[in-house]
Amino acid sequence: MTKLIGGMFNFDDRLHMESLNQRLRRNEVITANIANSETPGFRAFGFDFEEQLQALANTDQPFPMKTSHDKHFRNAHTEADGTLHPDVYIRPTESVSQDGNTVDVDKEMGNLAKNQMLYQTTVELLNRKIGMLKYAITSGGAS
Amino acid sequence: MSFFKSMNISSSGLAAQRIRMNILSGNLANVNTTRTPEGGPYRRKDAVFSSVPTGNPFEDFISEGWGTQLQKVKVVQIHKDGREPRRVHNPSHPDADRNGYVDMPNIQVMTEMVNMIAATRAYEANTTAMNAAKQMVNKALEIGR
Repeated sequence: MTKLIGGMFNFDDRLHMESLNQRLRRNEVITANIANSETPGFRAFGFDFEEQLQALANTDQPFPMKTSHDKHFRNAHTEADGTLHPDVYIRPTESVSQDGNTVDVDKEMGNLAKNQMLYQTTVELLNRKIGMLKYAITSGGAS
Repeated sequence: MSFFKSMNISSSGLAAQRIRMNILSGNLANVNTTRTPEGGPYRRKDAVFSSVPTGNPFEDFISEGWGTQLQKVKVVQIHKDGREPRRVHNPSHPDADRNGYVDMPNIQVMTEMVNMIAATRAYEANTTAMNAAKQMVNKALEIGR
């Protein structure tokens, strides 16, 4: 019983939520690239969080605590508020157009669709899990 | 809220492309215009885009500079083409000079058409990005349903 309760909102959910947050941010970055696809001299931005999320998933300290001082121990990949903060970087690109713009619209559209589908998948995963909990609460033990 | 930031960026792109499209339409409409309020033939115009940071100081403080890194797009200038007018020999034209030459606008219809297609495509890309953000919002509202 304690195991069930303890496992109700566990580490996996935290990873899911972190993934949703970071995918939302990636959506912003891709959107900004697409909006600036015709701006002369605009350098396309990139945003990678998978490695940090993977590192968080592999860590033996699954629930990093919030810290309020620089000297406090903290998880190597998280900030003081216990969340991931990957950086936006200027993506090195091979294709530069005449006006110095490095946005590849086709690539961005692909990334946009991929990111959106993975976001929906994560939401679906969370929903299935909550659905199972609901089933256990409402009808699992019914006569 | 973060969702609306994506939509704000997309709508800045939509607005910029629409302005550009209006200017290009103006160029095409005035391809034979020889008289303008400022005198002389019509000069080709084009929109100059620039990327500007989203967000405001308060938002940047709580999101640790996230807003300054994200760039939306803005039309900062309507550039007037300074190239010489196209001189066409047409003595019967009322604006012809002594030698029978008329100053016509220096507009290539092909260039304008190509730019219009580019603007349309960019507009469509922004629409798609906007829809993607919208679908993500709707999906997020389904959590726990």
